[in-house]
Amino acid sequence: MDDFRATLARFRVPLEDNHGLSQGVWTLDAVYLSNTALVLDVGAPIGAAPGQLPAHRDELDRLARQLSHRAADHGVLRPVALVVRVESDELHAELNRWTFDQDWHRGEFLFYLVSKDEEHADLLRDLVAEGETESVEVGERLDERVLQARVEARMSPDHELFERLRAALVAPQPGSAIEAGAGLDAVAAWTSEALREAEKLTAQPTPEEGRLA
Amino acid sequence: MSRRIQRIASVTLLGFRGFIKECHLDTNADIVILAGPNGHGKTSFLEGVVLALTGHHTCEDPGTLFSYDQPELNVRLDVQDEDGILGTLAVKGLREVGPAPRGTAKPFTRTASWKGSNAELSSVYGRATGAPEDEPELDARVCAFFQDQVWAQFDHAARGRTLRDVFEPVPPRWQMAVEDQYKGLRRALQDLANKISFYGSDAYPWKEREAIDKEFSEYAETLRSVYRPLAGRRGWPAWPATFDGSLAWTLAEVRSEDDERGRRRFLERLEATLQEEIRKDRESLPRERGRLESVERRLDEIRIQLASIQDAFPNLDDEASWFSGRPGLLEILQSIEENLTRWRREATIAATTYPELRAVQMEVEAVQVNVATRRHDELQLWIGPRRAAQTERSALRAEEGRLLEERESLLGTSPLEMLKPQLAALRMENTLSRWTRQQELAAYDARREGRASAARYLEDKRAQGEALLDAYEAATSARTELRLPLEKRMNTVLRRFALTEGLYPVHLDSVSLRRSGDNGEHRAVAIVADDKRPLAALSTGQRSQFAIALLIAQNDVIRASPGVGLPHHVMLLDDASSSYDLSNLTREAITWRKLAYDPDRTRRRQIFISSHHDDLTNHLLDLLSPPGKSGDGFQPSLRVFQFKDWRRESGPVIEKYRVAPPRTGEDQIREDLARNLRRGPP
Repeated sequence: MDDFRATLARFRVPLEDNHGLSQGVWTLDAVYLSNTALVLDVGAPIGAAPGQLPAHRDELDRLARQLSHRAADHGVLRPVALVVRVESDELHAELNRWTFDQDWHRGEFLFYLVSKDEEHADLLRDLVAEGETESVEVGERLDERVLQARVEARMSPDHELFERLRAALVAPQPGSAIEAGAGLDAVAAWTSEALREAEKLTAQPTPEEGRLA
Repeated sequence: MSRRIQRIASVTLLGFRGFIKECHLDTNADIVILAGPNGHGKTSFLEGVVLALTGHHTCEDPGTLFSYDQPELNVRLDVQDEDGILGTLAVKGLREVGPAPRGTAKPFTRTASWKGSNAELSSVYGRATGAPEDEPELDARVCAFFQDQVWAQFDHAARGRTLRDVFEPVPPRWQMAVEDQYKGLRRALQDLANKISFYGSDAYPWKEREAIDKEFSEYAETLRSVYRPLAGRRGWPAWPATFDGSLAWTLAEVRSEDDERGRRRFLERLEATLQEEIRKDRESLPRERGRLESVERRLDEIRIQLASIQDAFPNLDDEASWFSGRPGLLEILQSIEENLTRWRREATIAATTYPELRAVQMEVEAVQVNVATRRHDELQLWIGPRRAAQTERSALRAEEGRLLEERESLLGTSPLEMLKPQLAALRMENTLSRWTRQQELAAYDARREGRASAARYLEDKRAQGEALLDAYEAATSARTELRLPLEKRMNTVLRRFALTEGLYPVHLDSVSLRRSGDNGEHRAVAIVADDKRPLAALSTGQRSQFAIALLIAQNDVIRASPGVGLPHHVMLLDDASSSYDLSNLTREAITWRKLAYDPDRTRRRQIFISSHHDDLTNHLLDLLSPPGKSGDGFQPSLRVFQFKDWRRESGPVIEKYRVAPPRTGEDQIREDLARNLRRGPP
């Protein structure tokens, strides 16, 4: 994330333990400020005892609000987002409930949980970046000309059925309609010929469906 | 309109909905927030902007867009293009007839001009295809969100064309013809597959092949057993040339019709001769003549006796059963004759003691014993012979059965008698049927190579058809054209929301829509959650999140499409905040900040947001507060219009605010915050 212009500070220090937590504390790895948001990159407390989670939550709450208020003192108002890395599935499930706890965050800060490095980097980039970073690429419109070209590209030059259907595939002029049913006739003629040829090869009529096993 | 509107600098409304008097608002900001209570004109304001920007409105009756009793409506947008060139978009409407507030309206006049010159207006569809038709609904769906019409954001609620219709513009009749071809080709290929299955199989396809083999083999054995003991007798049919001496024949020799007739003649003669031989043989047998003659004589007598009984009583079994019962009528009459005198005496005594038996006494007195005796005798005279005849007939039949068995035993010493079952097995219809089926089997075996050739040939044809279908489907699939970019962009926006488990990521499916009263078929994308939940299964808030994500995704996709484009950078959101919880409101703000405060001007949008809840509005104001000036001189801006009141004679009363960016320079703030942080985390 070093390429972020918005990086305010990078460090890896444990937060002050105001609650006397015996197992694990949050680590604040970086703080980013951009036109989009004030983002705190936080590591989850490893080995936190389930009984101490409320206290952990208070710690996080204090961190988010203090930074938010300090920025506001300068007139900087931004959505505040906590991006929390958590590796333990058990802890992830517990912390995920905090996301929906409005009594806790009151919408004053956002709580994002990530577990994979790639996901972590993508989310940070998305939240910090000023403007959308994702480029949108759309293929060409599928008009008749494009459609015919694509079908042709997949067909061998001697594809008999395609040759017969070519006229029905694309209208002679853009916007003009082809005759409905022309393609069906071509398909029917092609299959009839194929069956007649097959009959010749077997020297016997093709069997009625009802007599097939 | 070849220029692209970067920003709506001001909006003027007159005679539109609740804007009775002219209302002019300076909207020259990156984000414009419209705040105020319900019914004060916020939504109408956004509807007016959408009408001028796209030409679209959702009213069934355009007359309702006019202010009460106003004959004319006007909406004007003063705009700037990407180069700062000024222009104007205007919509003018005249009420035609009818009382206020409803009534018909003449078609609205919509104009655009840049520096005094008129510009062309066309919809997304028109720009994409060059078609003259104006179809503004899609234009509105990709730039505007109205909470009370959230369903309209999705393809399946679209009345006009969808984004897929634009990007995959297969003309409906053409498309239908191609799809008909698909169906015809698919049917044909299925038929070929069935034939190939038949031709390609080495096994005889009729289920009873084994049964035929078994029957035919038994038949051959029967024929052999019939023929062998009689061979050489005079009158015995000559063995057919097509059969070898051991009665096995080669199937290849039994094909022609002549052979069929020859077999028939042979079998007929064989059967007739066999019958005759059995008869003659029986006549010449040495017999136990005494016993046999005695048996046959007695059998003749029995037949005569049975015939005479039949003649005397043609309905013997029925009649003998008449008047039966427990007891039968005969027995009842007999009992009356024997007991009536005593019953009368007892009835008299009983009736004296028990009055309730008087009716019984009267009935008993009414019976006449001499009449009962006569009837008994008459009935006895009629039924007696029948019962006796029945008994006699049973005895005769039993005796006849024993004698027949004995007679058969006496005759059974003839070896030809043993052939009688085989004779039955040689009945013509059975024989010829088996023969014909065996012939078919032979022919089938003989054509195995031809069948294999036909199978190979048809397989080749089928592969050709499949290849063409694959090519059609690959060419018309939306997989790489539209669906994936939309899906990806939607998920980027949705990821910022707090979504419950199973919603993210969403998936888009390509589907077809056919709407009532619409001849064509529309292509659409259907949105489903990761756990396959359809939109209809989502909550109101979740549906709004999906709609906002789709709005942004579609807006982006159109903007990124060469030859299509979108003629403006404006997005309008009516009441988008009301269905969100506090967390998601904040999360959505991140998206709006990205769009509105993007340093890259080509990607930046001007965003109008309305909100009717003061708490949410204040929260939103904090979240959307503009940052300081960026390095390249871009100063993001935010304006707020507080709709304070609405008056019947004039319309909304609006207070206007600018939200100032931080006084301190952004860099200075960064340094200060960073300095504090480096001292140690808070």
